[in-house]
Amino acid sequence: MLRSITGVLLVLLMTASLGAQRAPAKLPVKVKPGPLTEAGKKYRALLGEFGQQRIAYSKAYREAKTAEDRLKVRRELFPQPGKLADKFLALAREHADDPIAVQALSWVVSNVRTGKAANEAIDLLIKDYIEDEAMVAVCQRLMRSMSPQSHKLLTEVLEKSPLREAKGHACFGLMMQAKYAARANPAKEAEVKKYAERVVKDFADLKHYRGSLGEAAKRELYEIENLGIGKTAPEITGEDIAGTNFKLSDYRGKVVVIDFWGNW
Amino acid sequence: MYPHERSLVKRLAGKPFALLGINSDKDREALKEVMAKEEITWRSWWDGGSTRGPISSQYNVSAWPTIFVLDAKGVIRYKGVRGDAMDKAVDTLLAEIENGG
Repeated sequence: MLRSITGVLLVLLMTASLGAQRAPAKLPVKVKPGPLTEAGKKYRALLGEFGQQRIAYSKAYREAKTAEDRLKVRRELFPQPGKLADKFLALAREHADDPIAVQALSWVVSNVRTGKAANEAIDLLIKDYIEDEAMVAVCQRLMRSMSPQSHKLLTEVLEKSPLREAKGHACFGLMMQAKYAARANPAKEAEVKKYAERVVKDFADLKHYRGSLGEAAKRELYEIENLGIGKTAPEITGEDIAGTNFKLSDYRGKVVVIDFWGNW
Repeated sequence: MYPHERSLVKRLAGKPFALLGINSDKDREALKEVMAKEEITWRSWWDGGSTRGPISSQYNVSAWPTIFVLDAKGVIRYKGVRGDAMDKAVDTLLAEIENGG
């Protein structure tokens, strides 16, 4: 019952997002089937509240006539999951024994990346749900987060989860976090390499949004070996726009900016 | 991007510097028109009309624009620098050449 209602909500939310530019793309976490508990009802109501915000925003955006009006709609009506995060967090605390609690916490970390609510949700996930299967989705969300808490969560899932899928996504998430950190601090590249090698060795077959985790980790290893600061840029040969062949090494002796671009 | 790149290319005319593009547009003929209109004088490789073209794949590029800055020896010295940071990176490497580096 709960699943079917959530399904309808999902459809509503997805439909609503089609109409507007850059509406928040995050969808609520799927809910396991089960009797509709009091906590489940509250969770559903909160999802509905967020859904209504999105629908109202999309409608206002579609109806806005001028660029100025659209800007105003964006400023005033753009759904802000941060405002609901505290309510999801309170729900998880109040109903810690209900399976919905972990879903509520997942919603928080999926929809708000930084701030007090996000950090508290992560702390609770670490404390009570590190072995839960919801960690598979949570780890995928946290790979772009740079907070110490999210790093701790991924580390603990990799160490303690009984689920190989959760461990794999935690390991991949740690690799991605190290990759972002390496942009400011190249010394972090060793860590990228460590986690990438572990993904290739132990979790290569797990699915990734582009192929498998193994393929994605191999791309990172290739990048470190061939495209890092201090490496000779791989030779480029090919046609220019007019059809004349040329190659990168023709430009030795010059400072070269390589710009991957598109007119879109 | 274009105005900034145009001014960089113009400012460094005559210096040992080149801006080279790798273009992932779908329509080559339309691109020629854009290049004429936007005064894109620097040379670009045609990456087969796709963001998954051979050069973008070779360089692991998954976001556009992506920038690499190479020194005179062809070594990658900076990645992802934009705007003023890109200009500064280029000037630093040009100074290395002038200082015999």
